[in-house]
Amino acid sequence: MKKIITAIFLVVNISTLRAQTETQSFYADGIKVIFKPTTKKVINVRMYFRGGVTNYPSNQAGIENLTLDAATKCGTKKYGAAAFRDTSDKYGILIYGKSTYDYGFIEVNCISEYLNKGWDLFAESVNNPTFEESELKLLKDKKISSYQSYEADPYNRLEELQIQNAFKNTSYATNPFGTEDALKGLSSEDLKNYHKTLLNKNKIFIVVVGNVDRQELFEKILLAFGNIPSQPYNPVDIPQPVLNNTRVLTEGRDLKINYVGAVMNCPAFISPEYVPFRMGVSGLSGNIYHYLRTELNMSYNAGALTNPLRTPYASMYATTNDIAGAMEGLVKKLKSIKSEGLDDEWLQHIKNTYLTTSFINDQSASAITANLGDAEVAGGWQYGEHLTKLVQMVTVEQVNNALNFYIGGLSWTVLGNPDAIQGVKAPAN
Amino acid sequence: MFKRIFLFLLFISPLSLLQAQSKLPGNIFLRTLPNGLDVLVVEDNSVPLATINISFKTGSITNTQNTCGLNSLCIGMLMKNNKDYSDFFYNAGGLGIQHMNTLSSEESVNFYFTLPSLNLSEGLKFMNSALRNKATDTVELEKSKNIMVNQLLEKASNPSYAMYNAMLNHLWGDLYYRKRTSDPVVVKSATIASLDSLKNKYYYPNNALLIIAGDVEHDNVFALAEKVYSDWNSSNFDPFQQWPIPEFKPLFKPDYFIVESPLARMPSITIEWQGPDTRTDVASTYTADVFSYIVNQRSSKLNEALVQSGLAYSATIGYLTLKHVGPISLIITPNPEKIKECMEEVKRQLQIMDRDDYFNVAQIETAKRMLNIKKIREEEITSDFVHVLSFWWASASLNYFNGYNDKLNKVSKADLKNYVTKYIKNKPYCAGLLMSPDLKEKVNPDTFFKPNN
Repeated sequence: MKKIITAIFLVVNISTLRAQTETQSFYADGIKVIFKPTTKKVINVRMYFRGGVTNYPSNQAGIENLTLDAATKCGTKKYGAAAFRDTSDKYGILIYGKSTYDYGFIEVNCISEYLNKGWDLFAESVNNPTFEESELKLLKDKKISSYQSYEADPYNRLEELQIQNAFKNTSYATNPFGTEDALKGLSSEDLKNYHKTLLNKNKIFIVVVGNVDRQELFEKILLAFGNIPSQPYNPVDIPQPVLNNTRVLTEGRDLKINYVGAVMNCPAFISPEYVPFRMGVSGLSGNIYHYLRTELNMSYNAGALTNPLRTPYASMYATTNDIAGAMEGLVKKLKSIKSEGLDDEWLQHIKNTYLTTSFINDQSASAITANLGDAEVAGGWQYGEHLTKLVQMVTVEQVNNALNFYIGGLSWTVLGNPDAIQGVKAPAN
Repeated sequence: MFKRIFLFLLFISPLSLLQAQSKLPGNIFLRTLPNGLDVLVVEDNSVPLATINISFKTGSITNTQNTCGLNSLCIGMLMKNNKDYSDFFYNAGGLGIQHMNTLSSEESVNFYFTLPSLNLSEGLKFMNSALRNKATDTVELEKSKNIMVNQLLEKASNPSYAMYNAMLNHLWGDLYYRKRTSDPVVVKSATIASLDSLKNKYYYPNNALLIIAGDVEHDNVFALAEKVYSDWNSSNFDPFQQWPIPEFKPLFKPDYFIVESPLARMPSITIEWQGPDTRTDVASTYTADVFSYIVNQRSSKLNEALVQSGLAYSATIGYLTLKHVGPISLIITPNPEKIKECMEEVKRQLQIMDRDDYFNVAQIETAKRMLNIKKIREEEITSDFVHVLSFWWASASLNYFNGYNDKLNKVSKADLKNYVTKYIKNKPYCAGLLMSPDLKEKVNPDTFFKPNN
């Protein structure tokens, strides 16, 4: 069996989090803070709101995403929308809000010289958004427009369809960006009410990465967010999907090339099998890339990855003009790695490249913030921090067992030319 | 924003070397090897990595109609098994190499990867073996051609690609292929001989920059680079003297066109002018960046008139610094219900951009501050910063990069007005409207998407 490691496909979401100094965690008046000091000039801060799509019903799809972004764009008590925009432009402060499957956040990114300015905008966005009606209307139109542009990218659409298909009848089937109709129906009052539900010390945590003094940070958080109420919060769990090999969702689009994906089960982020499983998927990715791209020239881009949501999944994908051939190729490589497994040398190569990737991700304050936040939501930031050590401990036997135990059925999705997707069937797994 | 390297750097004397180095930031060091290879070292010990990047001054600007895409193919063929590394990708994994890729752009092509700094010496050898390998395997070439064609098909699945191609033809006329990265027809017809011919023109150490960035020490890197690369023979010619780049013909009148694509979920307007370049009007290249950062502020007249009014969802102006005519681009996502009104307002804005009150002193200062902060952000990720440096090297010079902020700070209001009158106001441009067939039928753009009489 060909043993390949590729650069691109190991770069999947959560990485290790070491680098410049150790990450630390503390509580500021009941608010969990995860802080990683760095030596560079860029500072990144995110307030996370746990829950994501489990926080609202499907007919309100997009409400959290809109609320959090509107908090940074539609005015606050201290800054009208125009003043807010001018201040962020004036000091090069990047601030926005977003919500996805497992969480929402408001992020501010600035250089250390302007931290106080950035922090003031950040605190105002979290505490005192006014959701000015006229600004909200403009923002809703922009959101609808940008979502349509986002969806026009076939990779984005494939990912959406894959998760809707695999997690049918669960909260993950709700599109966190919302639909045009749902967004149009949301008023300033709706957002104000929704915003109140987010402010709960047990639902939020803050990640700070940058060259900032810990005591100064502690005091800033106390002063800005000490008055946020504290209420019980119970996270909603989403069950692992039951996958069988017969589920194929197709969507037609007049494309020059077709996009194929298959979702697989994956161990939980905090499970002992998670890291070995990820190593195995990295090996699978390299083999798929080599087989479909280099050997068969059937695809420009093909691989596999793990997506570490609270209920994680793994997937294989390929772009191709031969849908059936690519699906067969993906399954062939999956069967091959499950039956033959990795060997010691191959696993060591995967570990080597993994370490490089983790350090690459440690260069940017925003990337470190995102990685720490993802790990915290998925089970604990420490898992991310110690992932490198866990990677070094992985054995071939653990990898091979994890792949065989977790990967069974597949959930297929095909986005492609209407003629090409006619009669597409899942290959035997 | 960015520019090109001057010839003297290729034949640098010890004195000029010292002068060049004295202008670089304290953590960046430059040395030129006897074979003409520029070696640039960026020291940043925040993570134990090293990024190695080789850049050649070529790219789409050196294309002829029959070689459009061969640079991409040529640089892509470096990632093949060679005499020292018989299983290229697997061997790369053994060294912990990640983010290995190639990049072909207007005025440079690049091959790069990142690996643990402990493996720096092996990484330099790995790069050298790839560079020095002579591609002879026609089977491998056919595979690379297929991969590239598939890549182009992927690009064509994005609605903006149709606009990109149409704009090239309109803005650059019969030399459009010198701005186009790849033509699938040319790629399909490539042979080992055609790649050799291209390689023999541009892929020499005296037309290259080797960047090593990360947790490294510059004297050690220079010693290693000399050891590994000194037997790489230089060419005895300057390719840009041997095969001069023809000048693009200027536009003579506004040129409007409509691109229909069923993939276009949202309409998009792109307006482009032929802007300044670093050979003929370097001062305006700095002014162009400041101007863009004024107009893109959300308090700007343009943003107020288009975005805050609801006529458009976004409006962004930009300038791409190049050695051979950089384009000025205004890209707008119009409100689909108000495309006509949006376009009328765009035309009105273009007529008033040189007014005294179009921007104020505070906006100029904000633009300069934003550009300074942008530079800090670019330096944050060292493995990405190498691409910024190679871009400047190819399209301007390393000195241009180093003096960039000082030059920006000297841009005056008068400079900005002159820039508008010289390159934008009442100057010929190309305007493209991308939309779906359904929307086209609904709004009938032929009636308004055209020049004013």
